[in-house]
Amino acid sequence: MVRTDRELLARVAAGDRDAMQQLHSRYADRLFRFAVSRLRAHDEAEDVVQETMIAIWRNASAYRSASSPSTWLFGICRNKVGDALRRRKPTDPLPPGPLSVTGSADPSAVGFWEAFSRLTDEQQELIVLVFHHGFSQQEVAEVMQVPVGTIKSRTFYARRRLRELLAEGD
Amino acid sequence: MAAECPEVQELIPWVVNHSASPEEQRSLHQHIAACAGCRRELVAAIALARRVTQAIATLSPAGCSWSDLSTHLAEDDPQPAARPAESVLRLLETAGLPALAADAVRWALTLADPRPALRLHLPLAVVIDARG
Repeated sequence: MVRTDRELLARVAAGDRDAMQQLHSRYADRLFRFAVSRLRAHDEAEDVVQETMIAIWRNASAYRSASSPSTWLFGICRNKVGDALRRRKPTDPLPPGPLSVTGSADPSAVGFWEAFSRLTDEQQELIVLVFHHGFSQQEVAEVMQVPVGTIKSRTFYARRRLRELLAEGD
Repeated sequence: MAAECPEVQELIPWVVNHSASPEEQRSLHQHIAACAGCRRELVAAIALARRVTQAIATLSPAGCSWSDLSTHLAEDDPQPAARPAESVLRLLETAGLPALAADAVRWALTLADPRPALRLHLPLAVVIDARG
């Protein structure tokens, strides 16, 4: 029987490990791709996903059904990414990019990550949440805890900036 | 640029990712039929979305397995609501209450909480300590 994310979260809140495993199988890879695009470090992104999952296990009873489960999970992951970025020492060099992990030599992808890394943190989040994860305006607003109108205008500027940066690199 | 162009251009990402409402999609399509500038914006946004998706697809998949996480969950603290129950039992222990009373409290707390994690987590250790 396929359960909805909402049902799984209710079961996780009741301590059901099988439900937790199902949530993990649905979300671990999606959360990882969000985290690694922001952190540009594979191991650190895996740690963030694990911390996110543990936080879900501990706090599932705090989930309120007014928001969608996926935005709640991504909101937690976003906070963990922020924690990971703050843990870095100011002198730590920024990892060169997620591509260093995959070993991909696709010049288009290399150019993309170079341009992407020059966006602000918030612009990076918006680009990934909207264009990769397909979140609606309302969902992005819930993940980022800002009004929908703000999300619309900031996404407009984020994609315009990314296009400019990609054009510079092409 | 028409008066509605800024609004339409802000809407474009959500038409591209298919999360815009049918009404929003209809209004955008009506607008771009007559607006070359917004049509170009839409085409550019589609190309950008494709590039984002392709770049993210090059990332290696997550290595965070369930077995690793499961081990961590097993080692993890009990879920937060279990903590007050523990503290009551520890209080009883400190007060030197008879083991029978501690057992009764433990049983009542276990019944009151439907979560298997809590049932499993309230081991005899605390009560045994109280008996000692």
